[in-house]
Amino acid sequence: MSLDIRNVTKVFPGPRRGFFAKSEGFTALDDVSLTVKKGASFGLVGESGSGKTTLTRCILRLENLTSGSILFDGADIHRLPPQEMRRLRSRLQIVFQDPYASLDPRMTIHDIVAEPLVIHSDSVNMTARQRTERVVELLLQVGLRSEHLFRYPHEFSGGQRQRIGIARALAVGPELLILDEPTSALDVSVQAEVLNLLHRLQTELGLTYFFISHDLGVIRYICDEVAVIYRGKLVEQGQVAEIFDFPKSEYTRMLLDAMPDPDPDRSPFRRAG
Amino acid sequence: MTVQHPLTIPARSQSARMENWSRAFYRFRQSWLSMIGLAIVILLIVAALLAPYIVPYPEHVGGVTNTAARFQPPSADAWFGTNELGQDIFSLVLVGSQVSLFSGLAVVFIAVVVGTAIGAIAGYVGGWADETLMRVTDLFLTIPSLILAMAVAAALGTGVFNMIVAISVTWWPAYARLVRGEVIGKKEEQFVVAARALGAGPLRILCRHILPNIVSPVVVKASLDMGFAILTVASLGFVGIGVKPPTPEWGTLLSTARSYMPDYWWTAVAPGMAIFLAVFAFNLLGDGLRDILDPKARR
Amino acid sequence: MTLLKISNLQLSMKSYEGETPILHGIDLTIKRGEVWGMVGETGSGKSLTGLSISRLIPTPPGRYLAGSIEFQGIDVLKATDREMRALRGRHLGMIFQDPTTNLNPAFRIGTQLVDVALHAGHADPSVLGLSPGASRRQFKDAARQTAIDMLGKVGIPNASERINDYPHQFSGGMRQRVLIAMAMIGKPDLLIADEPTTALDVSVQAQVLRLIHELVAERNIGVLLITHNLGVVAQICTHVAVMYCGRILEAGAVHDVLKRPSHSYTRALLDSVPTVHTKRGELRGLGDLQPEALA
Repeated sequence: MSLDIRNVTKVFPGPRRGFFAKSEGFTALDDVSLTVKKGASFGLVGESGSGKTTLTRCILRLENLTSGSILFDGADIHRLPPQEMRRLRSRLQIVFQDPYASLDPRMTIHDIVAEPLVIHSDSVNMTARQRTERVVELLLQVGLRSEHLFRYPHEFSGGQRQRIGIARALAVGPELLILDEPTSALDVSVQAEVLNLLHRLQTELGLTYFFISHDLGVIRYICDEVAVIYRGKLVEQGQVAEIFDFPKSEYTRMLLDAMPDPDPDRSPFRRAG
Repeated sequence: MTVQHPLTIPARSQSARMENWSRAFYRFRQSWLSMIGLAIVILLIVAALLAPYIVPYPEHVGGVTNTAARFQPPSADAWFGTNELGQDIFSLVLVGSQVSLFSGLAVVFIAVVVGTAIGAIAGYVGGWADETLMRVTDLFLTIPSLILAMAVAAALGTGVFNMIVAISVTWWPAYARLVRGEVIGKKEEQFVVAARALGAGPLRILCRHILPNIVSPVVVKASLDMGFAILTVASLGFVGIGVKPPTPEWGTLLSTARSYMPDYWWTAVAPGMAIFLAVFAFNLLGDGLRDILDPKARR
Repeated sequence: MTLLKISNLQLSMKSYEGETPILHGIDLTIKRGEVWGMVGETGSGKSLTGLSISRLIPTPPGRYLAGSIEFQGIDVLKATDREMRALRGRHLGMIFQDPTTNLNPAFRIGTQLVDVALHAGHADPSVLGLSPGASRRQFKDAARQTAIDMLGKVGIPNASERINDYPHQFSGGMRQRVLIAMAMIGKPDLLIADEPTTALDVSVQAQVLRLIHELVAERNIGVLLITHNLGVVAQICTHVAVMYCGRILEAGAVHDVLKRPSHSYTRALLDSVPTVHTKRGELRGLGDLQPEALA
């Protein structure tokens, strides 16, 4: 299994001006190429509007490409017939950023985590009883308890909801997990726990991570390789240690400098004053 | 933290759902106006259901007249007095609530079902389907409901069924527009995107994720509309289309009473108050529901 | 000089579950020139403490059980609404988290700034550099000039032209700066900033922090910076208070607290932050730290 993103460009059409003339489009992704290797964690760093979310939407085929291709295990995601795409989705799952918005408020935890099993029932083939057992197993795996089964999302804290989101993503046994800023809405102590959970799950299940974040500390902590994206273009990519210790581009250096460190002695203001 | 418990599956308890309900009721209770609305609505419904069994003069409802006791003012015998045929007005008004409430409910129900179906398809599919359905909706929106009802009555004859259909035809577009807007809003919600990423089909997304999440605004609008539906039914009764006599109906009662004003004022007061009370109660209830179900619209 | 003195502040909130105590006796003193960081996690009561200072918590459902908030000699909790309004625009500046929802999209940036300047000017004409007997015309002109000056000061280039723009024409970082300008226009003595950089990118965050830092140096104001980000605290705060479940567990100079934390919760928080120097597996989280042991 590997994920190959080859020369992907995505242009959003601009608003229509007049009847015939169209204004210039907005280039969200400009010739982006990267490879995520099996079993590794690949980090994508960028600020808001850099195109990181557009890239995940393209990988999940929630958005069409303008040009380029995305290969999952050699299969071109954007050229697969719908039936095969549906099957492929069970190997490719996503955990969203906002644990408050990504769980349906009207469904119980059981129904939320079991949903992928129901959707992919043609390939998973479980009875209702087996599904419930699998859901309980998943809840325990992500550090929740079976008593939580028939509760609703609003009864849980942000960290617990993100665990539910992770359990849902793991339900159909995916190989690649896209993590779209999974901890940016969480408190630091909860973030630490979720990061450690993700690390444990990766070793236990042999998962591959595509981890998107604006937090360089988080990327450094969890990822092996990293790419820095700025205004739709990859600025640089390589091994985490290499890029963070010897950044080649001006932008990466600026990001590293701007990152607040909880050590008062490293503050740029104190150094000056 | 990661101690593996033996795999036990708890029974699906209703407690979480119950708690949601009692939490909602707590917020509803915070406003005494909503509580009054709810109380009157419940009273009206109970009264309408039990009317034939509890009225003091059931025979008057069937059309029996008592000319000896014409235009009796309100008394212990006849609480709201009697009309030009000597019938007990209290009995008539009480039984009349059946037609009013039932027709109002039927109109709102049909409007909700038709409107939701059309609005949901338009909003979810988008593109030309949206364009076509919404233009048709706009077309229906231009028809004035009273005029249409009169036309229907003229063409097909008067009757409860024809009246309900005529009103519903002009009521569903409001729901179609509401639902379309809500569906478009929910379509971009992250849990819907999540379902799409999982591979869920359009039918599942619409029925399982979007529609359950837009129930609140529809329920609020429906409860507010109930009052107006009752009013519309009464208006049709007042102008003489709708229910055929001798079946008592608030609008018809009011219309007959008109000729005996102001000397025999009580013939008009009772049905008038009934209409006022019903419309008022449903509006209070709707406002209260909006406060708990749709906190964003709160003043 | 002491600006703000909160003593034994106790607040409870009424809800479906009944009345729940939220703040269990907060003590905090802020002097001029001090930048206090208030750190804590969701639900620790840090934002409610900030809102209490400008009395923006509706009562009910809130209820103050005990304690006082003394701001420049005025007991905020006992002041009249009139006194509070005068205080808010003029002596107390507030900045909130989300720059998009706190600017009215229907009005020009300038209109909104001038409004605030006029409000502050009517309370105290010296803010606009006027004497009490100044004419309406003078007030208007001075307010406009103050708005332009302030906008320039927070680093918006071409302030005299950009003042005619609408909020949507500004980027997120610029909108946050407009809000800071708005909070600073009345020349407040105390600035309360509730998560002012949480919605911003790190590069923009650095700019906003620099701006606050400069304002303190220039005007010798006091700042209460409410945040969950220990990095932000380490960068610009002189003092820090660590909150947990409605209590201040530890407070003091930023070096003392962050370098030599005396409370196990502070230590756990610091161990939770992944920095560029943290190695995989080093992150701790709260782990087996029991909430009961902390209270």
